[in-house]
Amino acid sequence: MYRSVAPRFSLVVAILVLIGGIAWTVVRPAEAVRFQNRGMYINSARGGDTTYYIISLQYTTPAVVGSLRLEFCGNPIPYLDCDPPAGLDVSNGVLTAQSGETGFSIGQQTQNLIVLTRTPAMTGNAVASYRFDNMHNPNGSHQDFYVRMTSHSSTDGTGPIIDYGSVTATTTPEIELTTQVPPILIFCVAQKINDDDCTDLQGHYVNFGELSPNQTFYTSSEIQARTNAQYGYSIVVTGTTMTSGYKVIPAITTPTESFPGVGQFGLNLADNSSPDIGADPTGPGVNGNVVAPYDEPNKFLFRSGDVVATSDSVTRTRKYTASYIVNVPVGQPPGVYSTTITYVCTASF
Amino acid sequence: MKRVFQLVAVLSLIAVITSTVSHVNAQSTGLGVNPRKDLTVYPGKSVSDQLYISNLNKNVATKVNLTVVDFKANGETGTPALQLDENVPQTPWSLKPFITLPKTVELGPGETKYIPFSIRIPENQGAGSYYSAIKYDPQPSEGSDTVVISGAPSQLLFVTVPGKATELLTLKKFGGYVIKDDQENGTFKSLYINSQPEKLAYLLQNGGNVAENPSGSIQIKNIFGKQVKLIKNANPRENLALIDQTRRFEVCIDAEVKEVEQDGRKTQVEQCKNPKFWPGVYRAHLSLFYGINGSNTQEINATATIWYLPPWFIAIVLVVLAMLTLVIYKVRKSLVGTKSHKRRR
Repeated sequence: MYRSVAPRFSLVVAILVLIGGIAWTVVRPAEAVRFQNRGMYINSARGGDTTYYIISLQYTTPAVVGSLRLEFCGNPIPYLDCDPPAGLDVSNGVLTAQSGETGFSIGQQTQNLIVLTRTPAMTGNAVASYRFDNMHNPNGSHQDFYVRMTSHSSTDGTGPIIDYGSVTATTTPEIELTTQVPPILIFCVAQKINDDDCTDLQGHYVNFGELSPNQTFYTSSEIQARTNAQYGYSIVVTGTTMTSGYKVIPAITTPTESFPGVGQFGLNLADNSSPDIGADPTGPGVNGNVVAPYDEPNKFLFRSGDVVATSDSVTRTRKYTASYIVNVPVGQPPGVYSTTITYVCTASF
Repeated sequence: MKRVFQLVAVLSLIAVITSTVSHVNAQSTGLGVNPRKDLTVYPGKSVSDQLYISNLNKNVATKVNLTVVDFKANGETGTPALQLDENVPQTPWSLKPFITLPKTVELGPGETKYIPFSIRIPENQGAGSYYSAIKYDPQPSEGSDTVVISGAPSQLLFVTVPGKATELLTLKKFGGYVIKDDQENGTFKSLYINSQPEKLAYLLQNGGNVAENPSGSIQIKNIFGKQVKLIKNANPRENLALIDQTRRFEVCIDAEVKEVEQDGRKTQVEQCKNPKFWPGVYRAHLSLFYGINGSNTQEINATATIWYLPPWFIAIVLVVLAMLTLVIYKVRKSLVGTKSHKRRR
């Protein structure tokens, strides 16, 4: 008796599960999906301007839509609280044109919210666009802001979401205001730098002296940089090795120790002991650092275009000591050897 | 006349003795400039603006050459690779065809000037980003027998031409990130044993024609799906992915501003701090948005898994497992013993 009932019971359970599964699949609410081809055009992106916006989007889900909710926030993520961008005001915005999905009017409006409403109707495939005049941009010259968009079958922007998605925009000035205190990059190079502001620079001639194969000749100069720009800076060394007409002292192209009697020209930004020259970077701009391999003590090289130091954010004054060495072999043709070394300091991005 | 001959002879002797000589002339130049400028110029329009330049040396006047130099990205970082060689072909995104600025500027000691310049974008120019650098090169001191060492600051200039641009960022990697000592490179990491995960990073490859500045958030959830951290700004330094660049963006899970003392002076530095995670598995959800004015907004979503398993936690797990095994073994043994005892009875 028991054995004959068990298979039947299992069969009934299986059929019920199957029916339940099918029913759940059919009647479960459709999951919201993202709008396609969504974007925003701001006619004048200057912070604080009153201008017009054109918001475009393509309804992904064919459905009856009665409202489109547009919420202007400092963040695009739907599950985060919406912080209205400082200075933004869309409460006086006027819907002046629409295409694609039409028939909308403004049903609700606050400083950072516009709800478009219409008699609920089925959406099509066309890209829709809505132009709003009299929109007031957020303040600031580089402020990101977003429009969180959702479509609903209701006419007041409430209830289940059909499609959703965010568009991004940034206030960017057409013309920078030079009356403001701008970010500044302060940069100087000299034999000796005596202050943080690069105003007291010292030294015009530093001499390697008379070169001979018996010893290494060395000298140094100082490089100083600071910036209040958030991206930091990088310093590149450019130039050529030492030459006298067609005669050349070869540049060291891989980090190498100094060898008297071997033709070598190189530099580094480290505290060396052989020869005893150079210093580690000094000054409070601790995020300014020498880049490898120019940070290796007692190893020298020179490759034009190499980055020798970088910082990754706002950096207070940082002074780097560049040490130069030169060695000549026996039989180095006599002459006055010279070169031009330029340090180029550029903001990072 | 005899003395003149003697002088010439002595000078000749000196010249022979010091036959292999070199000098370094440290040109004392100190300049202050704007590090970067971002402008928006519509096709068919031009803008006029000013460049800030200041001679910091209060004792010496200087003459500065202004040169427009193209640049590319230097690896995954935000360091520009200036195309300083004159023979390098112009980049497709160069501002050279559109910019007008003076070639030289003279500055008195300590003088600051605002130098006018303009950018004109032709009517038919496509939307996108155009950028170059302006190099401020102090003219070297005269003399051919010296090594001139000079410092040339340069300014990055980015121009956005609004409209329908080609925008394509592809996510190459996303996950925990550990920076190396050189502060330049690092490695992506998903298993942390000896330290807490402090930093996340993502690599974006830019295949479009816009220098992209993505923005968005990162949400970190624990094994139960509960949010434990929310990084509201996934690109806090507003870094750019240049055209053709694969750019690394780094962000602290928890950031703090710390006071550091260097050479007797205090300075504030932003650092990543310990997020104080419990051992376990975490999922980081990245949501990024990008798109210039007038172009479609693009979205990137990704999830990374991070394990934090410190040695003490592994030790506890092993001890617990060992104890469980022992208990199971004992229970099983006693059950087997009881059964065999019953059978015997």
